[in-house]
Amino acid sequence: MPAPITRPKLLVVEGTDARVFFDVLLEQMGLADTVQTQDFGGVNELSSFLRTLPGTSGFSQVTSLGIVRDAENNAQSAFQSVCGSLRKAGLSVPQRPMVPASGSPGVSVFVLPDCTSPGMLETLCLQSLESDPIMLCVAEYFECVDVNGSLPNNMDKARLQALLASRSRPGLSLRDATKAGYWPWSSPVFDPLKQFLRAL
Amino acid sequence: MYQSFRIKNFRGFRDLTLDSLERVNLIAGQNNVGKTALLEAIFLHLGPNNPELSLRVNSWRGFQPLSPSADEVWAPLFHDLDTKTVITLEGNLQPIGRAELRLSLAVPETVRLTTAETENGEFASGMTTIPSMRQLKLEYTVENAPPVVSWATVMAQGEIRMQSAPISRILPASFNSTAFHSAREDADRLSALARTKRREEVLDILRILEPRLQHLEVQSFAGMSVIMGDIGLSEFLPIGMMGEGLTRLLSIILAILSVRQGVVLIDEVENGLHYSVMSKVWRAIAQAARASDVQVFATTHSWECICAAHEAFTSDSLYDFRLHRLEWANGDIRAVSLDQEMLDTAIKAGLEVR
Repeated sequence: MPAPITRPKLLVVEGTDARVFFDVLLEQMGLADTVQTQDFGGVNELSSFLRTLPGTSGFSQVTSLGIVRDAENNAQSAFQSVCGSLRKAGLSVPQRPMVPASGSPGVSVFVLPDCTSPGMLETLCLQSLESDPIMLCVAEYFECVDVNGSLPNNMDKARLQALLASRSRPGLSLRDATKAGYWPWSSPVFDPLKQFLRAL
Repeated sequence: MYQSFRIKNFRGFRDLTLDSLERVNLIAGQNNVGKTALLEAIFLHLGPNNPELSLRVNSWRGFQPLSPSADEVWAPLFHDLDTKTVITLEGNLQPIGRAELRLSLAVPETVRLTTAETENGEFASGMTTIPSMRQLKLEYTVENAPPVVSWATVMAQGEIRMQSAPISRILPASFNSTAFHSAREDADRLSALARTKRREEVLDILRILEPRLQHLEVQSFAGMSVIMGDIGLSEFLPIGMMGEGLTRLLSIILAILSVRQGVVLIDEVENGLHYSVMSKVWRAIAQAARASDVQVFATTHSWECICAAHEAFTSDSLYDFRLHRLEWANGDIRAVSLDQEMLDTAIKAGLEVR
């Protein structure tokens, strides 16, 4: 069954893993009562999602809309793509990532992992665990893979899976790892994201 | 067919515009946002020289005026009960053009009146002196033609008299209300369809809910016409004994097949119908509406009903369906229309569109 929008701030994110990630982070930050999350699916669905959003129940009460997507290969292109979708939907278009565009609602965009680098949510999660000793094992594992086979297409996803495979309960997805409390929320790599969420 | 419809100062609507109307239109929205009122507005617009409809839409809601004054009788029609405003109902219809109905309370000149109570339309008429008090005035204008004016007058004893101006073209309409159901009207419609050998069309659709149904006919009991069905038992059964859903679907389909080139209004379309059959019901409504060249406006509270309609029209060769959601925004009611792509997105993403 669908969930109506009931909170004044709406954060739309890419996929179920991201939704769980942000729900937990917002809870950690004490913002869960004011910010509601919604999964827009994949990047190819963002345009039709944003076009549909203003017609849904409760959207007229939303004062601030945040959009989070992965940079993939290029953060600037990803940001421009979101802006194009916002324009088509008749919503306010920000000039830069993390800088809200005024309007009703105000709109701001965050491109993972840090609005400038290529990557995705997995990149950010890995960065938060950079000092974990197991990361050395992960690095050595993929060196071995490189020598004896071929490296996966998406290295950040692969490295995160290898890291998660080292935990006492292996095989967790990103969303389950989030629920299990694997990410050190106090890590400074999350600071820009927290700043973005507070500014919504 | 309506292309768009605008309502001003009627019931809860200060100014509402409904655009992008399709063959089949489903109206969603929270309680008390005006879904039924929207159907009532279209119903009034379709009978622009019939002041009696204004009484009917109030009586369906159980409204009884406390005193015999026009202000008391008609106030519930007006936004904020403000009888000093003018209700404007404006439709853009293909092929009629722009048709506007204005309802207001005004002091009439002496007019020819007929009583409202007569049901068969053969009113006795005569010249009557009208009290110099405000009464309900209906002005109907098509394109740039001069307005045609009708009146409803509340007499001292509470009797309401009508003066209906002749109009050359009005679309036929049927209002399928949850508050009122006419078994006699259904029986008359089935008889008329049977005469033109269209009974099977009705049976085919009803078999969605009752596959055992073999035959339908109108039988007379103590002067009353009753629709009876054969489901293979030793005797025919009254259709009402076969369940609320079957009676409801029969009434809807009879209306669509009978009101050719007109408009059928259905309040709470999912009432009595199990969600698992809704997709088939929508397919049947779509086919019947196209075959009879009828435009349908229906209301719903049901997510399953919306999903079923989208599924039915998506799997059809033609997506002549639109969801319109009414909502409160900044103290007013507004309408948002969702096309196929938007509704598809809303359903997949679990976005609330009721």
